[in-house]
Amino acid sequence: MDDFIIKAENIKKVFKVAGEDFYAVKGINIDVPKSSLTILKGRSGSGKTTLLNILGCLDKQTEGSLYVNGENVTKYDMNKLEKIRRNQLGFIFQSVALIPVMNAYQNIEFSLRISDYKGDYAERVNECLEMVNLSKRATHMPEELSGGEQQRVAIARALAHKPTVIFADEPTGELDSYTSLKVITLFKEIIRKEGITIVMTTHDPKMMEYGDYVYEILDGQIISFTDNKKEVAP
Amino acid sequence: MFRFIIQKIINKKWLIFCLLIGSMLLIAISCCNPMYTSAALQKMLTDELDSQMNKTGTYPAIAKLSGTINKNQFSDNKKVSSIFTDPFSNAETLADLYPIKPMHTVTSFESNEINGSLSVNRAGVSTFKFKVNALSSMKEHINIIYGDYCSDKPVDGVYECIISERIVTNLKLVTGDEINSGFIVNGEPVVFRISGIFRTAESEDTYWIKDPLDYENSLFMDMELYKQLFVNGNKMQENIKAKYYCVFDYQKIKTDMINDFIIADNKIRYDSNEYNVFEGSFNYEDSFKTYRKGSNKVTVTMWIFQTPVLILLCVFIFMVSNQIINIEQSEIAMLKSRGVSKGQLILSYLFQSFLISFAALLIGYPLGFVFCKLFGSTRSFLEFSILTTIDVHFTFKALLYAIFASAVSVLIMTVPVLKYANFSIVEQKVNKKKKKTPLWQKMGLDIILLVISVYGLYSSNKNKATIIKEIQEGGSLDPVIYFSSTVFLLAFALLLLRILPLLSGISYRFICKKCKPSTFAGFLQINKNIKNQSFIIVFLVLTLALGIFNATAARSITSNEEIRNKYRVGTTFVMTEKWEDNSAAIRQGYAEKLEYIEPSFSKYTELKGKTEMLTRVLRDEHAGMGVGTDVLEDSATFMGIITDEFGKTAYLPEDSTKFHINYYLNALAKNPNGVIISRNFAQQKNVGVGDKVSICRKDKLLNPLPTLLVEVVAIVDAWPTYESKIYKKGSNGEISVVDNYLCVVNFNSAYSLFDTEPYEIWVKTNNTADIYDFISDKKIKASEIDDTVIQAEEIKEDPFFQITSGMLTITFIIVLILSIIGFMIYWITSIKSRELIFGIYRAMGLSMREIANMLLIEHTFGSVLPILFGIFTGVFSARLFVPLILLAYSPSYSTLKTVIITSGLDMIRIGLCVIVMLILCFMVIRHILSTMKIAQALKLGED
Repeated sequence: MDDFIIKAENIKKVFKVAGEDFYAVKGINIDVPKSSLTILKGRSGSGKTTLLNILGCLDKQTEGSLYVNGENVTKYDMNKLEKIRRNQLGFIFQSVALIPVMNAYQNIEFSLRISDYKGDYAERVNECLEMVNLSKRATHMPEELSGGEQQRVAIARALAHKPTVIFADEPTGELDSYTSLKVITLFKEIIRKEGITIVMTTHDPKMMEYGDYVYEILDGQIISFTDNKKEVAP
Repeated sequence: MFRFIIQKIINKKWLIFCLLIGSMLLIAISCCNPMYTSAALQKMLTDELDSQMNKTGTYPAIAKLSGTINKNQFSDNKKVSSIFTDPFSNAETLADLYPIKPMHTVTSFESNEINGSLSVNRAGVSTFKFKVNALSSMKEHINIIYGDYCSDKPVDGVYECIISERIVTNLKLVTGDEINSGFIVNGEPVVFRISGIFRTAESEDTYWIKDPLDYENSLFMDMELYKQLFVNGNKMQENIKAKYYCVFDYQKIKTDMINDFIIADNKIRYDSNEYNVFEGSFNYEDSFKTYRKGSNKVTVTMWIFQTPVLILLCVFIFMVSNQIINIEQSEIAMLKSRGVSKGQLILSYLFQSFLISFAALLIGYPLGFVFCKLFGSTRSFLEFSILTTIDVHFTFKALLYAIFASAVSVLIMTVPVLKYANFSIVEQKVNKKKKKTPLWQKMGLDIILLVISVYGLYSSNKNKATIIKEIQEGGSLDPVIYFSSTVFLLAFALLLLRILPLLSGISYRFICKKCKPSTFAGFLQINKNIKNQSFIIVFLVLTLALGIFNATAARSITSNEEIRNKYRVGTTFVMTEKWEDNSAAIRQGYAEKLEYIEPSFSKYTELKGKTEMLTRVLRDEHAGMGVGTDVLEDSATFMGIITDEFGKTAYLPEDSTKFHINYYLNALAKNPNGVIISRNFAQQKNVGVGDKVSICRKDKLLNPLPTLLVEVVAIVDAWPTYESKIYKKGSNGEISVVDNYLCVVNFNSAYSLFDTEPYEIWVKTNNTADIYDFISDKKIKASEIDDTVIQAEEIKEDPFFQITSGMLTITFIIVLILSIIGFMIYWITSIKSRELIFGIYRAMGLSMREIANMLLIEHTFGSVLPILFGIFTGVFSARLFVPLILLAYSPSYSTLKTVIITSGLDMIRIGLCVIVMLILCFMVIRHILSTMKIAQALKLGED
């Protein structure tokens, strides 16, 4: 289990729709190895975002067990989950979601303030900005940045407090293919440099080849699993 | 489109509900104006006529035409009036000139005095003089207590008359007496016979303009027979004094009839000048004049107090409407992008506004009526009584006002859409990014407004004397004063918008180096968002400041009036008994010195148990005062007091003199020949403690009394009943302000020098009703009564004060409703629109408590600071402007300082409302946050 940063067993999620139970996730088992890029692939409504939210401790599963960094968080209450999110997890959302009243620098600094990060804020923020190649845009407000730049700030914010896993929900969903490629390349670089694990969802088939592990999800179930690392191994 | 609009209304039901409330209040307040003004004016007119009747003791609505019909003029067939074709026709033609039918139309004829003697001699009755009178419709208003009513034909050549009981006594006539008169018709003396003795049928019959008992020697004949006797054919036998009266029911005289009354009066006056026979007199004229002065004051006051509320309501409607359209701007841009024309878009919003305003009209119009009833039952600020009410009616004018207000509300609701109707989705996104410093801030509007209002304050203070004079002459509250105060509030609110970002910037810099994430986010939110919040901040400051300002103004107006009235009277109740004197004997030369018979004072000891304290006070407002022989006549108020009793009875507001009243009383008590004088006398005559002062007085017949030489023991600025400046009519008839001095001496020293003279009884009590019982039990004849308890009630029921209290109360209530609603709308929509951000915060691991903390910081700057600032602005501006507003109510150079009263209870009320508002708002926000699911919030962001 130590090799896996996230381990999910028989995860089910039921929503009430018009008074009836609707299974968004139907008993999924998933293992996310350390320092990897795991992709959850699927069409809209397939249940991938619901699964990502559960893995990222944003939502509670109806059934099943979840381990984060070897810790069984299945029965954790919201306070404990908050603490895990704050220190161990990072998030990138499809709709960029930078905090509009903070500039690029402050957005990143904010995630350091939330976490128990003990180092020097300024040093780390500049380091992250450099990593996403936006040092010159530090004082710009979100509305003064392009879509791609905003997403890069969001990435810098997600990795600033050195989480073990970053969850990214359709991070390239609103970007053109060139910018998307730059984002995915950045992900790979972060994994290499910081040893962080990234779990992302996408519906874009072109992204598949960049993932180390690709799970294809349909109707709340995994219908295929691709281990790209294995294939490239000699 | 109808279904689309209804759907939109349902989707934003809460905001639409707020619009409905704003529009409803706007309509209600607008239609209140004509409804209440007309009701208040009517009450004022009736009260005025009523008070005239109480003052003069005569019925207050009589139009009278009187004159002598000269037998020569009549014989020449010369026209004597354009009103009557024949002066012997009755007064109906006079009545036709007036807008209402009189209760009584009376024609009265009276002959000159005729010599008469009884045809059968009786002991004690020799020759006498008598008049022959006739009154139209007299028969219906009398009872014959002895004998019969006079015949309408001569009986055996004798003319029958009836007489009152007074004539029985005065002329010693009885029923059946025949009088041979010196009145000769056709060469024969006319013989009259007394057929009966009459009495008025009802004691309070308004028909009797002159009480029958006041006719000293009149015999009354039948009207038709009278005409036959005095106008024999076309020839008048004697000159006759004719009077034509119209007695109107004064309670039926409506305000809109006044003009018609004046036109009729003028026609009669014109007629009098033209023919020079009759003269018109109208005893309601003075009341009408006083009413006209007052009505102008009432109307202007109503507008002055109403305008800020109306503006506030318009701003509120605009704010809510703007908020709705702000939320819908993407929708509008999308519709524009899909080809919906600007006209169609505006039309759809216009239709929506129309639906809301129409609903508001249906509720607002009757609500206006309720408001009027509420005004009418206002006794003082936030104090109502079901007993005091006013007769309010729905009027056509009120309906027009309501319709106009709803049209204004439609326009205001639609205006914000014009801003967005031009933009397509692309332009809208571009515009969203543009953030500029608002134009008003660049122009320094806040500073300009502040300068304007301060200048208004300065010039009003400088021109205080002119303002007082204008108000004395019937002017109303100077709109510049109220305008300046409103502008001052607005300037302060805008000033806060300039200060707040600086304040939060400084706080951020000092606090946020290593602060908690919630504090960090809170401060950044304020710094960046303060411009979006500007409207609600200005609104909060304005509403609270206006609320406090109004509360202070209302409280101060009534309290100052009550304090001044009590000071003017001296204590709770002051009465002077009627004293018999020998003035009649002096006039006839039987006596020289005026002497009074003092009614027993010992009876008042019985009253001592029922009241707190009572004392005797000698008072003369026309005393002369000076140093040595240099005495200025009629320049001072003289008082003789019993010091210890006076100290316990008299009322002197705190801080009106340097020391407590007892300090001065002790000084006077120590020196039997001492005098307390006023500061103005001391300064003008350069007199100090220890100097001698002469007091010269005259008795009521203006004969000089001995001069009193007294030693100054104390100098005061104020004293019960004393005014340092008074209005005096000069010989040219012009009213001017002159200094009035004061001299207070020991009662006993005055009494021994001036002999016994009428004194006032001053009573300090909580319940003056007991005194009236005492007066009636002891059959005391009071010549004058000043009851401050009754006067305080009268002040509260005075339409002018009632409008002020009512309007200020309603404004205050509306302001509270608006601030609660405005505040809730702002925060709830602001929280709703930030759901995604909260989702991100939560996803990043910020707890609910931390988010609540963040909102608390936002609240502190965005609401608590404006609230505190609003309260400060209200209190501060009230200190500056209320004394000027008070001039309109107590326009005198009062010796007393104006007291600005900020009631603690009002502050508690405001505080409670604010706290409830904040708690309620915070609870709603917490509820929204706690029910918000992170995943869902993030999903919302994607959408």
